[in-house]
Parts: sequence; C-alpha cells; structure tokens
Amino acid sequence: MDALASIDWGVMFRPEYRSMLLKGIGYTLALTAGAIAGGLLLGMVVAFGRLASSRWIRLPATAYVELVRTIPLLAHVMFWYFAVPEMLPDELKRALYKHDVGFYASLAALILYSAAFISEDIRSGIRGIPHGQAEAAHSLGFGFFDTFRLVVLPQALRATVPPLLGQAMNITKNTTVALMVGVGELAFVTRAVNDASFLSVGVYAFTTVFFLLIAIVLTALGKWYQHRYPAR
Amino acid sequence: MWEILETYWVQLLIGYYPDGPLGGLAMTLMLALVGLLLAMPAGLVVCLGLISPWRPLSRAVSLFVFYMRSVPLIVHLLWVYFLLPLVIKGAPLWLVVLVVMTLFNGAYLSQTIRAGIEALPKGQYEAARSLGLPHGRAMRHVILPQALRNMLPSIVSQFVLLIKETALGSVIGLHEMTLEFMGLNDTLGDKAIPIFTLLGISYFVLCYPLTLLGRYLERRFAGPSRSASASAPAAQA
Repeated sequence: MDALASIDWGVMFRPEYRSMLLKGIGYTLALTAGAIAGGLLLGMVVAFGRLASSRWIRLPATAYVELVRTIPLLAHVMFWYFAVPEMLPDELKRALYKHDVGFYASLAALILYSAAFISEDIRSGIRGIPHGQAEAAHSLGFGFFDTFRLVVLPQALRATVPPLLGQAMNITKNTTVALMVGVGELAFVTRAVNDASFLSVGVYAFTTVFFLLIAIVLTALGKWYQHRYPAR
Repeated sequence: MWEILETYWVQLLIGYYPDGPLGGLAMTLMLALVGLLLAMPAGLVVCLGLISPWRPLSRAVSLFVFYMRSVPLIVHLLWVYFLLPLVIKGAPLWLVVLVVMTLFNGAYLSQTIRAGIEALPKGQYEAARSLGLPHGRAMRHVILPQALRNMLPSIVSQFVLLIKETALGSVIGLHEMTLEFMGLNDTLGDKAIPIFTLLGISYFVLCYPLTLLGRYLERRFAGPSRSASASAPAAQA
C-alpha cells in the first residue's frame, strides 16, 4: 500500500501540466472529429462505388479498400507527412509549411484509413436490405434518390449505426499514431509530461482514464441506440 | 525506387544484425509470429474466464477485455515500457512489444473464441452436462475441439492485424521495419517519396496474400459455425 500511496495521482492538477494535457485532449478531439466527418463522407462515396453496377466504378473502389486496409496507419501517416509535401510545387510547399503539417498529414491519413473501414460497414448495412424493398419502391413510382432516402436508408441505418460507433472508438484510439509526426495530441503530451515530471503512473493513468471514458460513453450510446431502434 | 532497395535491402531485411541488434522485416515477422503464438493460449484462458459460470470471475475478465480494447495500443506500450523493467531488470524493447502484443491480441482473440463457442448448438454443452461431465471437462472434450477447429480463418486474419500492429513498436524505438525505413529517410535526406512508397508496398505485399488466404479458408470452412470469424469485432491499428 505504501507504493500506491507514494504515487502522485494529481499530475493534472498542477497548472503547468494541466494546460499541456488539456491542449493534448483538444488536438485528439479535433483529429477525431475531422476523421469521423471526413471518413463518413468519403466512406459513403466508396461504399456506393463498391455497390455500383459498372465494374469501372466498382474495381477502383474495391482496390482502394483492399490497399488502404492492408497497410498500417502509421505507414499512411508517414507517407502523408514525409512524401506527399515533396510532390507539391515549391510555392504550395512553402505555404503548407507555414501551417502545422503534422496535423494535416495525420488528418488526411486518418480520413483515408477510416473511410476504408467505414465504407465496409455502410456497404454491408445497405446490402442487408432485401432487393425487393427497392423494387417495390420503384414500382410505386419513387425515383432513385427517393427510394434510397425514404426506403433503403432508414432501414440500413439500424444495422449500420452500431458498427459505426465502434469505428468512432477506433478512430479516437487511432489518433494517437499522430504522435510519431510530432502532433501534440494526448499520447504525445502524455509522453512529454512524463519526460518532464517523471510522474509516470499519474500521467499514464490520466490518459488511460480519458480513453476509458470515451469508450464507456460510446458503448452506452450503442446500447441505447440498439434499445431504441432494434434491428429487425 | 528500386536502387534504394538494391542498396539497402540487407538493412531493411534484418537491421544491423549480426553486428548490431536484429531489426527490419525479420523483427516485424518474428514479433508478429511469436506474438500470435502467445496470444492464442492467452486468448483461450481469457475466453474460459469470460464464459465461466462463476460470475465474479467472468465479470472481472470482461472488465479486463473492455480495458484492453478501450485503450490505444500506444498507451499500452507506454505502460508496459514503464512497468516491465520494474519486474524484469533491463527488459529489452522486443520483450515490451511482445508482452503488449500478447495481452492486446489475447483480449481480441478471446472474443473470437467465444463467438466460435456460441456458434455451436447449445445442445452440445447440455448433452455433455447431462451425460455427467462437469463444466471443465464438457469444455475440454466437447466444446473446444469443435470451436477451435473452425477458427483457422480468424487466426490468419489476426496474424495480419499483428503484422500491422508491430509497426507501433517504433514508438518506443524498436527497430522493426517501419523504424528502419524512417532511419533510411533520415540518412538519405531527399528520398522521402520512394522510401515511404516502398514502405507501403512492403506491408501490402506481406499482408495481402495472407488476407486472401484467410478469405479462402473462410470459404472452405464455411459451414454451420461460420459465424466464428464473422461476428467477432476486429482491431485496427
């Protein structure tokens, strides 16, 4: 018990570290929000591409998903941080380096990586709707978009939202990879505070609790959704 | 791009071995393979805890699984990097990564194994119990042999995940493949585009055939307990 009592749990109550950790949480949440928004948008496009009847749309969409999912997120982040700026013309490059390149590179990598997983969840959600539903809507005179918006989507959402909440949790955890390109997100500042204070247990516990809280909230949301809108 | 490969392939393959520590692709593969071999028994133990009829045990184990799945792999690495040297003096970096791989993937595999068990008809367990077998022997002689046989596809896909996860070993400075490429980028200076394209290609060439193998096995094993691999959630690092 002595060992436990000697641990300084209150790292986050010291002003100099508290501001670092809060800033880190800010970056983590910004990356998460950006990756979820961008990933949903791109994921939807890719999902429709994979469901398209033309193979010239289907093939590139499938290749994208297969390629992106097989390469670790860290390699994506490295590519966007080190290689992509080199491909730009000099003027654009200079303009880019006035900003936080690490942040935008990580965001781009996170969006592309998440979109590949999200598109699969959306695709299987849509594929789960029997084809007769769309046919019935068509024969009742609904157009392509109305059929999708009023008939397919409401049913597909029930099957898609729970796995998407899981993706939201994965994305939150994945933002930590940005520490490798110097983005000051939570894992980065956790390491920085640890190096400055040597209060390892206190800092690590703070960060661990943050991620546990996110997981608890998302799990509760998922339970509530499945209770409110049970899959049929 | 290929000149880089021609000049530095030895370093990318095995690091500075035998003059220095083993690294590169060899380290990545070794960690993933040994990690998988250790994670399988770990996952089985965790799974037996999860489905234990003794509630306090199954509660505690499911809390452990929730904890492992909620916290990012990098934070697990930071914890073990700090804690392991307190237990084992001078613990090498590869051991830190191996411990994390075992616990993390054990937690995920336990879910896969449980899904495999739950996919079996409930009558199997009931019949074993009604024949007088206690819980432990019903598991060992009736349930597990059937459930584990259908798990081969999931184990292959877990191996792919492990290969991808070991890239994060570079966070604590372990010389696996990703860190080797990063070092090369520092040495050569202006070759970022070919170097990181090669890094992506390397992982793709390594993982994609395994992914295809996993799908082939899944089709071959498709049967009454197909859901063993379909319903288990997967990690993605």
